[in-house]
Amino acid sequence: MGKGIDAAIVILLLIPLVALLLIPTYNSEYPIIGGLPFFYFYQMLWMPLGALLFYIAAVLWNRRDRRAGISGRGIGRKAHRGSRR
Amino acid sequence: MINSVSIGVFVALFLVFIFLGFYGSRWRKGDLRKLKEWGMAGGRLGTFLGWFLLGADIYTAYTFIAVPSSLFAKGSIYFFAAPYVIITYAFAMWAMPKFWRIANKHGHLTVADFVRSVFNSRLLAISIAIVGIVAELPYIALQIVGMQAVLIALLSGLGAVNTIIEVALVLSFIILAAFTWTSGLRGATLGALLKDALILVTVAVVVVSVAAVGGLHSAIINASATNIHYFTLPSSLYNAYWSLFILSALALYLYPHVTNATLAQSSPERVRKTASLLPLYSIGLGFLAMFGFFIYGIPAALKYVKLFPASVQGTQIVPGLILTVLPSWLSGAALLGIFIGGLVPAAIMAIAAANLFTRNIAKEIKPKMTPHGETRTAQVFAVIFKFLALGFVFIIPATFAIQLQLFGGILILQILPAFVFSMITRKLNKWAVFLGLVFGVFLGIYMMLAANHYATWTTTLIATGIGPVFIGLIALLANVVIVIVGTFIAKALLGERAYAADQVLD
Repeated sequence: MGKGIDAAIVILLLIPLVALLLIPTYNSEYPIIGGLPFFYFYQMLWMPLGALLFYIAAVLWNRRDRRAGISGRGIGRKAHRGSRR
Repeated sequence: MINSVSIGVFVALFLVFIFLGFYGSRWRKGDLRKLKEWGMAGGRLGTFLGWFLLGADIYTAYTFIAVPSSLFAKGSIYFFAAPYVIITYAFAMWAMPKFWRIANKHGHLTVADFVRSVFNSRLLAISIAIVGIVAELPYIALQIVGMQAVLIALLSGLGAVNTIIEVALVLSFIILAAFTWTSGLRGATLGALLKDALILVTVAVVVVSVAAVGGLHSAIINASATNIHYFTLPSSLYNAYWSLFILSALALYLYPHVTNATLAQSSPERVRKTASLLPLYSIGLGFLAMFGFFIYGIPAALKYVKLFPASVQGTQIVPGLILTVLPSWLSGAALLGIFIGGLVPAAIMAIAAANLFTRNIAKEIKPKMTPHGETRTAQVFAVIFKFLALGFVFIIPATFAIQLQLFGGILILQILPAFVFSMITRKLNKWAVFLGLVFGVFLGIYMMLAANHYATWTTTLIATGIGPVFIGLIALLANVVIVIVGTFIAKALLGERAYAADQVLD
């Protein structure tokens, strides 16, 4: 179970990064949505979306850390060992 | 336009703010003569106040003045600030809870404390402290530019533009110094609540007002008629864009004031949750950035901005929109929000720099300082650092104030290997890390001077084979290469003894 949760956390954190790094995919003035050129609209959209994905990641991650009972490290070998029963 | 009503509201709310500052010194009372109390609010902030304190690190003059200004002057490239304030929180969610736990367990109050115990190196700790302090100075300077911009707008009806610009600068500085001295981090946090409330209302009302008069549509038409790329990014700037936002994202949580605010929260879970929600806060930043082209939709605001010389024009974008689209009473409140939006972060930054100086430099020289002596030293240096910051105000035209923050970023990024890599691996050699740090800092400064042809600073991009790129990227890469190669060499010469002390991470 630990591995799957780790992967989910990493993916949740990476989605906004990848979406924003693909500059050519959103580098366009049109369509204009809500009065904003697409270049702006798209990046603005990733603020609430990012918060949503990050929040889910934070909840999973905190739960995982608590279960692992770690004190000195976050995601890492030692914590992982702790989470295996 | 500016009138007695807006000035009256500004002054009245400023008095409320001052009251909060003083009240802050009594609130959740601790002994303010102790450094941890004056400088870290005693380490007792929960999710809500932690959010506002960290929010204070985003809602600064960077957001209100510098980003809209540079977007207005140079176009879409400066919207990099939007992806920056999303991505940075992913990094924070990973690095900051880790740092909080280690710091909490070992009693570290600063990154330099942490580095000192990981590498068992006083030299490295002092170097980290110096870089941290110096990196804060241009960022503080940016806040002073922001406060000045508001006072210029308030005083704009009074006479000669150049005199107003100078008087505004002196006033900003005096107010800042007095505020920091008296209340410490607690007062700053309460001030942050007022500031954020005022700003969020302002942004919402300005956007709605601009949209209501059809300003968004005419902004796009009028801005397209200029020769600046506002609505798409020229493909030659792709590498500049991502390097600016990725490196800015890595830099934010390395700043002493941000690590300080992180440690002032009460648990690592809260640190992570706070960070995860902060992209919501960034929505305001995104809209403020777009004020840089919204202004083309409000002819009266554009006319106001053009009253000023090009060197300060950009700083008047947001004040100009506020003065033209809001009713007088609200414009006074909004301008106050922006004013303390420079004041509060500047205080927080100066406090963090002073904390760092006291703990990691002064105490190394004079170990027997009393707790009260420590606080006094920090208070005195908080003022001294603000004077030094003032020096930066003069090397950058106010319109390009964003370069102050980016230059601070170039410097602070160089502590990334010492601070962040050492949370992942113990296999780093302290001399390699030290050399990387020193080389990265000097390379960054050199490239900054060269890219600006040894004149006033208007860019932090440097031409490369892949187009213009943020200097911070190149300086950090050079640093990292030195750390890795140096560590391999040290390992070859010394074996296991080459590595960092390893007890601290457990």
